[in-house]
Amino acid sequence: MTRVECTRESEIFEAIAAGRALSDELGTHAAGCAICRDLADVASAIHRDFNAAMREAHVPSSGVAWWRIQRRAQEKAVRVASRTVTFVQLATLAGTVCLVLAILGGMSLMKQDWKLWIDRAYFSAIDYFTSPAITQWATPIFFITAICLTLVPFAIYYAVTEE
Amino acid sequence: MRTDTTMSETTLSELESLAAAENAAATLLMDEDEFRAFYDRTARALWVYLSRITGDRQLADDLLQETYYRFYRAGTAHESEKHRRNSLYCIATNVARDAARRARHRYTLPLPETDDPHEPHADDRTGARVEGRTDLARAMARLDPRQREMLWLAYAQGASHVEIAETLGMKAASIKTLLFRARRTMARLLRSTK
Repeated sequence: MTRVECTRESEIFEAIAAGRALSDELGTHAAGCAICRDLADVASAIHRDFNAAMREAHVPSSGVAWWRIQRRAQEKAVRVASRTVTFVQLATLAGTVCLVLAILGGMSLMKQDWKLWIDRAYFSAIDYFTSPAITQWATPIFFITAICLTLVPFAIYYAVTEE
Repeated sequence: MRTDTTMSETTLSELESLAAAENAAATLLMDEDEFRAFYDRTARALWVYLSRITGDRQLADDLLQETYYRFYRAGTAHESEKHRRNSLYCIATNVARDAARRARHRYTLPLPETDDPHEPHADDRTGARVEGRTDLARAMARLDPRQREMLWLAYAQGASHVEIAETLGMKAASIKTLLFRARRTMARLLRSTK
């Protein structure tokens, strides 16, 4: 069975990581131990490369990194919000289309008596809308409905957004 | 009665410990100053890690930013600086793997990132140093990506087997053997390039 570790590995790695040369005794051991020789070669090459690369690495400052993260987070929040608004608009549109189709379907059922039905509807609508109670409340009800319909997308956005 | 008292005491102590844990978690979440301090401590080494495992400096720039973004957005509370650092390297490794997957190749870009001769560090020893680094880069490029990650974490970052396992999403028990194989392969490649 192949031996995969040596008891002196940690000593060799510590010396390399500290930038010290191997002691004579440790060097002699490494020369005769395949595991420690591989470790010394690989670890010292990587360690040298790491130190050189650390000196040369140019990374953005922490302030720039923070600013980019914040900006990206805001962009993501806007994307989520616009997705929600689009969804609500599409749902409203689909609901409206269904409603219109339902009305048209209902009307087609009454096609035979359509003239009679329209006369009745007309007169009953006039009676309804000219009644004092309705004329008094029609405008406020209209505005409240309009405001509710406008605010619904925003309410849903604030309800579902993470921010 | 005695049972009730014990239960209420237990409940109170549990609540207190839960509250303490929540407070501890809250204090571990990063604000701007903490993030910037952590970034200053880790960014250069992380960039070097990314550039060495991908073999592409420009890609490393992008991945560095992506890594810190994901790390920050994860909002995870960490029990120690070491744990936080492991978590960062874990994200970085995944980000690099995702990038390689998207590019439909596994870090096949040629590595030799020789130093710019016009850099201010150039001196008489530069030639030998660049040669050594190019040998390392060539050898790294011929390794399996996971071996590259493992070797770098072990010998550049000085990570323990458990930390390597956590970062790479592997079993700690298998790291010793895998690291041995990676090191043996790397040593052979280094000798063959000399």
